[in-house]
Amino acid sequence: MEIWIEDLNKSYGEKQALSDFTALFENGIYGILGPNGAGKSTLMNILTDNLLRDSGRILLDGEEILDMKEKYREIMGYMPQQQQLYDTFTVQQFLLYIGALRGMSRKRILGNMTRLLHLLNLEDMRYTKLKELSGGMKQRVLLLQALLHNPKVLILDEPTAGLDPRERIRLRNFIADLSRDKIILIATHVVSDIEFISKEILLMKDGRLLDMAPSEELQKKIAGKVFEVSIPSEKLKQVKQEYRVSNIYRSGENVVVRILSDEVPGEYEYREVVPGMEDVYLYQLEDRNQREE
Amino acid sequence: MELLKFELKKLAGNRFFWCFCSLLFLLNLWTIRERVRTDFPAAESVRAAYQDFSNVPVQEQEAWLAEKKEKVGREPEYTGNSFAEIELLKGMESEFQQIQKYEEYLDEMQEKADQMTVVIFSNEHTFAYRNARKTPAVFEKLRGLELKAEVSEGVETASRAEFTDLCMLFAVIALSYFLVFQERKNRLNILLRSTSRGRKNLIRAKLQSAAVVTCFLVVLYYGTDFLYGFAKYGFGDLSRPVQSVTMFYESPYRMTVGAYLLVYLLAKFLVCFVISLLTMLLAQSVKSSAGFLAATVGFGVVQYGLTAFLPEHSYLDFFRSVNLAEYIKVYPLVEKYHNLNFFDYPVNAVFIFAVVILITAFGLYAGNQRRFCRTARERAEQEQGGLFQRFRIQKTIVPALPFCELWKLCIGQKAVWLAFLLLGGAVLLSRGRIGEFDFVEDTYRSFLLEQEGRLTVEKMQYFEDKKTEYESIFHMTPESSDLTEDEIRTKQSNAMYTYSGFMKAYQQAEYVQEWNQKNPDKGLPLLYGTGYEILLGEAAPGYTISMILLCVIAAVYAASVTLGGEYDLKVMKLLRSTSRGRLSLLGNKLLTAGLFAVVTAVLIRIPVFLEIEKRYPMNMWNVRIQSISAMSWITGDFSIAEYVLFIQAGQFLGMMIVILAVMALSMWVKDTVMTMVISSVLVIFPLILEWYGFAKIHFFTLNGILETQRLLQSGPAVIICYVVIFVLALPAFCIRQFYKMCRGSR
Repeated sequence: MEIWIEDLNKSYGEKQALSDFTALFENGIYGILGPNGAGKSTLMNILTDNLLRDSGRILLDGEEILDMKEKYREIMGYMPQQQQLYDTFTVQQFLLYIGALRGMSRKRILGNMTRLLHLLNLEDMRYTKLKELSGGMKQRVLLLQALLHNPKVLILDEPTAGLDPRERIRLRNFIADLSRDKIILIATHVVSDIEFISKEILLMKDGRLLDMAPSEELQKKIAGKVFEVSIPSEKLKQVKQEYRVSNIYRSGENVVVRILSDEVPGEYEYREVVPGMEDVYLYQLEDRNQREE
Repeated sequence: MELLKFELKKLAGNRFFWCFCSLLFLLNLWTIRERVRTDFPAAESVRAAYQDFSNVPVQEQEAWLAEKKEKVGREPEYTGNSFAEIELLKGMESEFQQIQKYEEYLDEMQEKADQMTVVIFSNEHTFAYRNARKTPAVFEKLRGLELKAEVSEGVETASRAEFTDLCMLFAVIALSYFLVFQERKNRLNILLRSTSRGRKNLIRAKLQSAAVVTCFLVVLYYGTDFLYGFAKYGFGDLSRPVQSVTMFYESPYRMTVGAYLLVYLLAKFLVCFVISLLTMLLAQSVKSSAGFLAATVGFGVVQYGLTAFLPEHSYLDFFRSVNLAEYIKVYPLVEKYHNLNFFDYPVNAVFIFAVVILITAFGLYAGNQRRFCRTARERAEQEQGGLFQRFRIQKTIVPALPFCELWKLCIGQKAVWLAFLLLGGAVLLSRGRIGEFDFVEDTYRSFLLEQEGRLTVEKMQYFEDKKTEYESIFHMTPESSDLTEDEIRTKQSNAMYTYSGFMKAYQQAEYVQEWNQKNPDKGLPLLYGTGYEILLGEAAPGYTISMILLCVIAAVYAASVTLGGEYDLKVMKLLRSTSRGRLSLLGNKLLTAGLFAVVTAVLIRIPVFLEIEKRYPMNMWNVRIQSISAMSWITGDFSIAEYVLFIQAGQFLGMMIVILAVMALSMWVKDTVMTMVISSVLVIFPLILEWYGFAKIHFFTLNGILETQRLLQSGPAVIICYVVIFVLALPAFCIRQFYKMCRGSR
């Protein structure tokens, strides 16, 4: 299965939310990384057929998704970024409702629900009202409803928003297990969500796709541009003004600052380090003029 | 069916909706109870009398009535009161006679139609001619109907349900709001629409649930009217022709009373369902819930305006009759034979009703479906641009909390526009009601203004002389004067025009004289007091209520959006987490809402006051309040200015209490639009009810403090109870809620 997106454009008045976006997705996990306003939500909304594009094509196995209509939505599962649900529904009632919206029979819904509740550790919450669930549980319920009909395409918008580290890891691992026979798109601005599980990572900024590659390749592209400099505390402000800083920690009396620079920071005591995805994020997606004051 | 079940479940779990509907139900019940209670003669006596009457054979009914009338003086059997008994029996007799003369009535209709045709025969292609030709055939079909004189009031009570219509409207608006906006606000609509059945099937389920709930509400609200009418009066024989009921005597339709009641309910359901479809389409078409409310209210005002202001017998009758405000009443369709002018062809109004309602229903159903299934072209977020973009708070402007709150209210929440609208309303109000020409008042004014001031012996003598002059004119005969009978009649008729006005002035002078004699040290001047009476609500009370209504609308809006807006944007937690985000913030919001309400109220009063002053000059503010005869009950030593200020202060206090109550409600509801709707029912609706004449509601709602004058006229026990509940306990409760919010319990 593949999704081919070609020259996708979308604007809101004068603001270009998506500009000539082109990408190919096959089975596996794709992380869409970008700051706020990058166009991730616009892309999600267009892919879930909640927003009409200005121009471009989206083909699922060669067929335009707009022409497919309900058939596309039958094989697409969407996990929105939100926590507001139907307060008076229990988990089971909510899933039955979503299942009905997906055209599933009651028997099939209950069967899939039982299996997924077990997988996501929500069995005990089956008859609990949604308003009584914690944030992490609600996220799991949202993921569960997206998987209820065993979709081929899974679109997750900030799936780990508001979760504690343990929940994040659990959810991440769960998603990774699903990826064999599905196309999974995860929109996020949290690097650790997708760094290790994604087949490819898409870097988006100001509506444009800057790059699309596996994380190792993205990191290699900025090899030789990431350094750690050891400086006295008084020079920290100066370094922040001169370079993009991705990390700071104390080492004895000095401060070790991880910086991004196209040139070697010769004036300081430095060492070159292996870039990580956070470095890639900062290097590619942060405004070069944005320095801390 | 599954999706319909879930839609109904979503609605069933919505406690606000059902609380709101329950509140409307209780209001409706109270209204109909009051309506029946104030009927004269009393419902129980009417019911008992008709029960006995219907047991009498038809040929003996006339004699039975005559016998009862004879016995009234000795023993009023049904009402316990001779006057009421006579009224009751007279009504029954009149109805009986009318029913006996039904065939004659049909003959009359034929005659009239024939005459009309002759008069306008040269204009065969006009609506009037065609209508006159068509009418006899319609009424010919009613020949041979056997009418029965039985109790009509039960059916009439059930049919004239304008307040129930209003309750139903509110409920339907709330229903549409919850069906459309709730998921939009929670952003669940994105999830639902991404599913395979989340478009056409989902909207169909919503529309079907709207139909089910509307049907339920129609049965509940109008069924209550039916039950109450039945319980109090009874419906009589349901198989008798509907023409047996007084209000439907002129109806051209062959149907029984029972059939009419069923058709009535069905028609109500159809119209209410069309309204719910329309409001759902409006809800889908606008971006914000405030826009939805504005669009709905605007549409309703336009529809009502068409009914209220367009002339009846003209081409515009079509638009006057074919609109939802008229259709929701239903009974006018059956009441009379009515053809509408459709390009000079008479078309039956009921036929047009059926066609219009069905076509509109289908059209709106399809429209809703189409709108919902359409993929959005742009984000469904509130746009912040246009005119107000230029008025962003700059960093250089002092970011003081009161200023920020006022800015948010006036500019962000568009309260400035509301203020302009209300001001426009005030101008129209002053021109409309106060500007009405009243000959008696004009005469009264001219007599009094001439003599205004200290009541001297000469002035009193002037009045006495004038009175004598009038009396001599009215007692004039040809013998006592050298005028003919015709001349005397003309003279008397001319004098009649000014006599009423003069007598009013004379009575005022008498009152002042009497007072001065009893209280020589507290002399009153002769005063033209109509202007003051209007200001205080003693004269033209409907006008005062209208003005208060405008002020209360401003207060309700300001209080709803000031706090509700933060809940809508879900920023309340953020605001409360700041150092000044509790007591200080709440205080500023109360201050802002209060300031807005007060300023708007003052501005509303200006054109009204100016118009009153122009038409009813008020020249003496420093004299005692008792100078106005309607205020003679006041025992204190107040000047008119002091008293008027006191009453105005009471009204302003009432508005502040409204603001407190609405803000406390807003904290509970956490939704601006629902706060506004519930507040409208609790605060604005009672004012409307009182405007329609339900005075009793005054003491059970905030009307009492808003119209302080009327409250002061009740006994001390009532005043104390009212003050304890509404002026002390209610604000204290609200303040406690605010305190809990600041402490963190909310």
